[in-house]
Amino acid sequence: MQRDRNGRGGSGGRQSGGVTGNETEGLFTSNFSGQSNSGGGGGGGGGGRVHRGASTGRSDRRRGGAGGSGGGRRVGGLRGTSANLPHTRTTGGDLDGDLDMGEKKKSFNPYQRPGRSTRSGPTTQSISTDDDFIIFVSTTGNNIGTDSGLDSFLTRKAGLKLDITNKKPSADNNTVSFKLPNVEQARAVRKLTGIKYRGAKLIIKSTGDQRIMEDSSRSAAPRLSSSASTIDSIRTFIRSRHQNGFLDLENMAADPTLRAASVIPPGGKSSSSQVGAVLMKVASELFPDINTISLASNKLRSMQPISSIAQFFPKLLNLSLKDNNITYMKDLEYISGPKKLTNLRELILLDNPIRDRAIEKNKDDFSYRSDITKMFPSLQVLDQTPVTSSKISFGLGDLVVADKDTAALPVPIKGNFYDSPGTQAMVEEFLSSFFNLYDTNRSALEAMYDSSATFSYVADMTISNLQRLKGLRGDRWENYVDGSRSLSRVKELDERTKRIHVGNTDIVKEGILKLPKTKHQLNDASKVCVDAWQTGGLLPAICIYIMVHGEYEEPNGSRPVVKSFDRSFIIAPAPPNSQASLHGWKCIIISDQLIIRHYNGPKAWEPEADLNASKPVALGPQAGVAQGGATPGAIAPGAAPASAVQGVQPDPQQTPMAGITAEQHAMAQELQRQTGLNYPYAVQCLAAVAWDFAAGVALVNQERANIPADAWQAPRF
Amino acid sequence: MADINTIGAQFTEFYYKTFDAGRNQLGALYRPTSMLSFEGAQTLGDAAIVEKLTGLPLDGLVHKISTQDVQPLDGGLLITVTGQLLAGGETNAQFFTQTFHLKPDGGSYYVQNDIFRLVYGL
Repeated sequence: MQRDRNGRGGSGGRQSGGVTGNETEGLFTSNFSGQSNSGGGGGGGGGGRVHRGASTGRSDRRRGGAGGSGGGRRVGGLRGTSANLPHTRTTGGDLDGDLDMGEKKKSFNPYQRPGRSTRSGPTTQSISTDDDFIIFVSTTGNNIGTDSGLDSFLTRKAGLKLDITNKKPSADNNTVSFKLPNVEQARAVRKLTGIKYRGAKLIIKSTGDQRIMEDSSRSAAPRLSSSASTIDSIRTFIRSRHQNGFLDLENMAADPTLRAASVIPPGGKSSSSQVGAVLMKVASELFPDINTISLASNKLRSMQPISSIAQFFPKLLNLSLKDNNITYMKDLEYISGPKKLTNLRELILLDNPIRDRAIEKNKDDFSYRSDITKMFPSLQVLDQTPVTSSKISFGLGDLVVADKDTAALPVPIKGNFYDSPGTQAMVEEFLSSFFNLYDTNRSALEAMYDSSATFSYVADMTISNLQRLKGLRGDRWENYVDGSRSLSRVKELDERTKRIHVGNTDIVKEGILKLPKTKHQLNDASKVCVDAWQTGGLLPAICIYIMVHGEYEEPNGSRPVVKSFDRSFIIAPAPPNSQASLHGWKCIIISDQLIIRHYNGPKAWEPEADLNASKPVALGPQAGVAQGGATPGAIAPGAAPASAVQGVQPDPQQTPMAGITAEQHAMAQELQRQTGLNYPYAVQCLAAVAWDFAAGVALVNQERANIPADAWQAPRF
Repeated sequence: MADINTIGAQFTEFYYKTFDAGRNQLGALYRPTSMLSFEGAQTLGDAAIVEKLTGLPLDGLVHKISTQDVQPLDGGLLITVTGQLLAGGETNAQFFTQTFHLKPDGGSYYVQNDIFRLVYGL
């Protein structure tokens, strides 16, 4: 790496050194005389200093020195004639920007400031300059100027510590500016432009923008002062390695043409940073149609030496880096990022430590593949295995700010869940009746709660960032806070006891009647989500657990407020002579827990193409349940007559089906009990499996989704 | 009997701490009759539930509890928790609601039912 930094050191020197026409002299040496680190030639010294701190300062220096002398020698080999590469350059705008860098960017002066030594200990980050970089981060409608989470977000995404200072919001609060102390940090942040933060894209700019972004990728490529013969050799080499759009740059170190010209290819010891750029540039000029490049077996530790591949082959489709020494994600960053290799379809990183280590560490290649595909979003094939976007998920941190506004956990979301059609019918009827009365006549619900039922509610006033983003400033909760039984807030036993309502009278009078009036949106099936199933063994009778998520409107007040809610019920069959039964209710509420939230929308339970999920069913009139009737008697059109209401147990009076034995009859009843099938179907099922009871149970469970609705026992209550 | 609110709070704290630290340790809380409904997908039995929970791609996530409420139910407890799922350092959390039905078993409790839904934050 420090070899390449040497190159940059050279460019720094060139910029400020007022390089004259004789470029061969100033390349590495002209500006380092004042450096305290003078070992191994100036350039090398600079290289040592700029090493990323992965080694100790001492070894840095030593290595830098050695590198410097090597660099000097080698560059000497490449220069010395009149053919300076800049003069052969094409006139791409980008390229010009790079080439003119020295003249334009006076501020980039990494090695020139007299006082530099005072701040550059061995651990100082590379190429630090006393010029701070000013970064501008803008987005729309996000009040980013005063967003305190931005720093940590950027730090995490940039992957290195950011020394953010002088942070200032713009007048409209849509832009924030801050200083970063060095080009490395500036680049890391600048590269993040386009990333989503709180649902909106960030536009990130920086002072010295072009330099920041191009410094790493094009380290002065065409500044290589090479001899005509060297360039010719490279041309010959490229021609010999090209065929039909495929540029084969495998194992360049062994290439006789390059060896003869003393060109040390990228990845080789003491290779110049410029060689890679020259190779790419020459190749792109000779064969603009190249779409596939192999750089296999070049001992590359980083993409930096060939980072210009992204510049010269922006439309590259396939790239092999097989059998190199790439170890860290960082080392690939030189060819990834916005506007780099955006068409890259296939990448091979087999036989690189970056892959092998990740697999060894994680026991699978999942996170490795996630990381790589995140870096190169256009990839379709990685390591000769297709990238299936649905399988490769990004790290969860990214998911949360991924494209979907409401990024999901990578688990399938299923819609309503009912364990059987019987439950579904029962629950839909219950909810429809319940909420109908809850909205219109809560007093009537007194009969619906058991005499020992419990009710409590919690106002969850948390506002998510997305909600805030969408303009939510927080509803008024004054009608809720007094009774909200959030145990983390309500610590006193008295209050806790007061806020749980026990028994139907207390629940209605002190509980639900004191809550604001509501209008539940149950007609739109997409806005309601229900999980419900029957369970035995809780109370003497079976129960149904219900968890319903939805929304309601508070019609009171100057303007209606929509709130989201979660409500879990436990309901049980209404005892024969209970108030509920007398009112015609088939079930009675044992427990009712209510959560009220800021409006959340229904997206959370949109089924993700899950064919097994029950279809959402509206609970209002569309479900065929009378809605207008506020009287309990209206809730059960077509329900089984009261005399038929029975528990979960199969009817002991069931007449054995003709032609089966008493034992088979008992078996069918047991199957009924265990599966919920009705008697005729239980018999049919057992007959189909030759009266093997276990097989019968298995069959029902396996085919549950396909069993027709009329095969199930009638609703149980 | 100890105050159910205390038991509920202890349970909640233990559950989420264990969940975030190592979900495979949660098996002790369930029984063969326990049921989990996670985002509408149902799982029966402690072994299957642990398998389901450990298979969820939730590594590195942390539960942050916003509210909890406890009701007595048939000698046991009914706990409803709301909170946020946070990725490390992330600020855009996802809201969730989770209800537990705890049943007494000897001197301790186990989870008879566990119902989880994400409700997002819009």
